[in-house]
Amino acid sequence: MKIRKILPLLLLAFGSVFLLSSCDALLDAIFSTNTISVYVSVYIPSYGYSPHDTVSVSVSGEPLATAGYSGDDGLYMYWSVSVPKLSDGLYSVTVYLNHVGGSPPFAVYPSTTQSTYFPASSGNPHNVNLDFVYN
Amino acid sequence: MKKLLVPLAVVALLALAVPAAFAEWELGIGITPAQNQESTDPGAVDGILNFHVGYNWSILYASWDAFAMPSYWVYNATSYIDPVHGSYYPGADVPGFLNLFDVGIRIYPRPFIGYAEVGTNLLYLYGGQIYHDPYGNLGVGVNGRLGFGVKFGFWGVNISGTQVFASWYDLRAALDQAFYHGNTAELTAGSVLSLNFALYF
Repeated sequence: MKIRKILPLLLLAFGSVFLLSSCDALLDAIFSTNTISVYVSVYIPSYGYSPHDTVSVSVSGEPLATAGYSGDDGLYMYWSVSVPKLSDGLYSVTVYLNHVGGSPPFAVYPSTTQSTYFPASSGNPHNVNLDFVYN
Repeated sequence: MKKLLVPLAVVALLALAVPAAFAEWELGIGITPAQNQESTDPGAVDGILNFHVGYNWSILYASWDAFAMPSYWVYNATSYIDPVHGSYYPGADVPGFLNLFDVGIRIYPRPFIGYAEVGTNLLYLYGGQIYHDPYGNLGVGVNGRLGFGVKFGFWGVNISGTQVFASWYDLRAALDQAFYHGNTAELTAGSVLSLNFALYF
């Protein structure tokens, strides 16, 4: 008998969440939010090499994420950066290499600027992977 | 007009033949397992949750359903090939809430239950907008639904299939593709198959 009384209350609570929550907040809670993942490869002979170098990712002019060096294969060194929690829109993504040759760190190469219509025409609606290669 | 009157009369007679004591409310939730397992996009394999309120009087049935739709469903349901120009227009690639307002009939040959409904729908898009058709009109759509299941006293489970067109223009575009170009996939782009659990009062 108890479950007969409790179940409607649970369902009503669930329904109330659907009805009363801010719609976008609820959708954020249910579905994964947008993420841009950036993979940077730099040709070592033309750049130099330092495991202390970092990359910074700016999305539409806003510096949103920085990552440290993640490895190399002798020819290229790699960084991987993710910018999560983006709302839908048109973004311009710019990657900077911060070469720690001296102090303070400075942006050496404003890298290739790549714009993507995010997410509609990307083919990967919620998560976009971008590759930046500097040879 | 006669064609419309005959089925209406049949429904009215059936409704009168069933005792009014059959009137009841129902409350439920449903889930659609992930449909697009082959996608490389993690966001595209989300399942679908829905919340359901229904009222049944005799065999007449009315319901409201709210579905939390993942972006791949919204994209499929709102993409269309323009019947006039033949151009492909990509849909909204965001999650959203689909609200269905349906009326129809429900029969209950114990313990089985079956229902058929048609109605209208509104699609809320992430970011605060209601979907509009390509001409900017409020995207009031159209849907049809069939369901079948079992009912055990105060609770039951059923499976429903709903075909949704996000707007009348989307319906027109889908029919054009199906009948003039043999592209029947457009007709089912907005389909939802759902497993539902319901309580009856």
